[in-house]
Amino acid sequence: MPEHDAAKMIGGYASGTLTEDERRILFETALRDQDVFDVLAGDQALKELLDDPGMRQRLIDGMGPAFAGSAGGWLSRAGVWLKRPTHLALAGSLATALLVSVVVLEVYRQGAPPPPGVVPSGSLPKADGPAKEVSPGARQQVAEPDRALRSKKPSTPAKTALQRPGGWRVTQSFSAPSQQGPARSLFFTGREDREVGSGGVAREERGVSPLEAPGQIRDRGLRRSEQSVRAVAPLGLRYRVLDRQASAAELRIEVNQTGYLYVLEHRSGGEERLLFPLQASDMPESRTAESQARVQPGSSYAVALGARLAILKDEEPYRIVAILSRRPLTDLTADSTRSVDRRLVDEARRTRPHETWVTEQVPGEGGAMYVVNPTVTPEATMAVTLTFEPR
Amino acid sequence: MTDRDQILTSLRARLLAYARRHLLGEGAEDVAQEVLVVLHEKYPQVTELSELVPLSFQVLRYKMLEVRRKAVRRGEARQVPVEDPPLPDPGDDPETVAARRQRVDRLIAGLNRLGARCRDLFRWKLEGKTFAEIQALMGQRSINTIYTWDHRCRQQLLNVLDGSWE
Repeated sequence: MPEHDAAKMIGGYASGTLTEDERRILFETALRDQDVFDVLAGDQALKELLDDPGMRQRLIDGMGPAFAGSAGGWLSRAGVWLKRPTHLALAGSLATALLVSVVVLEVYRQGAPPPPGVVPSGSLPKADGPAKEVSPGARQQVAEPDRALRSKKPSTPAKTALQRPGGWRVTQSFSAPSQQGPARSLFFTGREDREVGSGGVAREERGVSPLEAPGQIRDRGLRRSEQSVRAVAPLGLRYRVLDRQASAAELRIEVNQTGYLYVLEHRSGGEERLLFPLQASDMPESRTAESQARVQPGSSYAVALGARLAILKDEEPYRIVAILSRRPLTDLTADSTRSVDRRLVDEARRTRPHETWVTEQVPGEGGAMYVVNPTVTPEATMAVTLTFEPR
Repeated sequence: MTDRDQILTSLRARLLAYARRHLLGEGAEDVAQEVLVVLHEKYPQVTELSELVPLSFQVLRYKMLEVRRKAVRRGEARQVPVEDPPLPDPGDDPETVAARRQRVDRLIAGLNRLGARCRDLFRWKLEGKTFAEIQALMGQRSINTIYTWDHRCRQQLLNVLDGSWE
């Protein structure tokens, strides 16, 4: 028996529960392991107490009625618990509250308006179309095939790799030093509350005076701008590469704050091409480029990569950069060629040595990678570079 | 070197390290040595590991208490010959009995703050059941599960009691 298992018998020493074999194993371990020896020596006080039959009986009597410890015992305990009227009422109230919560949540999810920056999926080009909203149900469906493609955890803090069973290998790097940590927890802790306001940002809003006319209130609301926001939570993104088929690979991105998302591809010659959001020429007239880039929690944003990865064998490594910012980074409306101003990329990639991003890969979520910038500032920006290489 | 000598050699190292962690100054060496002397001179017939080790815990505890009493009664200290160590039986000393009752009350309070599973475990242990019997009572396939639960419950109880049985 391993020593760490033998050490688990320590609790049986003071109560005299151990068999002769168990005692021998435990004491042999104690002679080799100072920690075990110390614990046993410390338990001697308890042992002397329990060795006194009178004291032992007092302890048993003082512990109240016995429960059965098996599964049946659990049920019987629950039955005993429920027999008390107050407990029964409490259980009923809790069950009702849970049911109401589930119904309200479901109604809310079904009735929630689409995010302002998301184009209805029917209007998107299929093959090369960069973005579309994916409903929660659809996300479930696409997540299933990806389970077989879980990859190992990142091995280095700043640059990590996701191994794919075939096709390509994805390497990621960040525009700031990073470390492995509880990024998933941070992501959801910092996830924007719908009542907070825009993008992990709380609007600097005074209370509404009862003397203000409705028109005044409306005017004041219109004067609000994204410039008058302050950050209240870390900025984070979650992404996965879905490669159901070689030609249908997608990058799925979710965010924990309302912000602005840009996905660029790096082309030969140093040119950056915008994959997300759509350009003005591809969008409905009612949409502006800024609103198109606007993303919010609860939606999944898809970027099609299949056409590019399918020809990866003969190409140089393919790089894309996902940039998330609390503020719009550039005005893309005049850019019909999808060539992106280098300033956008440079700004997102600039190194901030004082920042330490937290990353975490969660195999149980199809290898989803969480990246969180714990710095809470309105200027917070993050950029993740993904490099696809043939295997 | 006999098995007993080997056990005593290992015990000396463990006793010394334990005493050094719990006593200040040079008293640790003396305590470890005194425990060994008692084992050697008073209990030469005890040779089995499963008896020798717990006996050493017992003597060690009394030696440590003695050192602390001496420290408290500075100026009144009286030498206790190593060949005449305090016996485990405390007798009917009212002070000792009262202290024990207090410790039991504290233990009861701590046990009643644990979950049902832990209380079941402790109860069965106090009733003299072995881990194998407890395994059957709890309907578990592996006795290692019981070891693990008991280990965690013991730790929980110790935490509830602020890290000390006394």
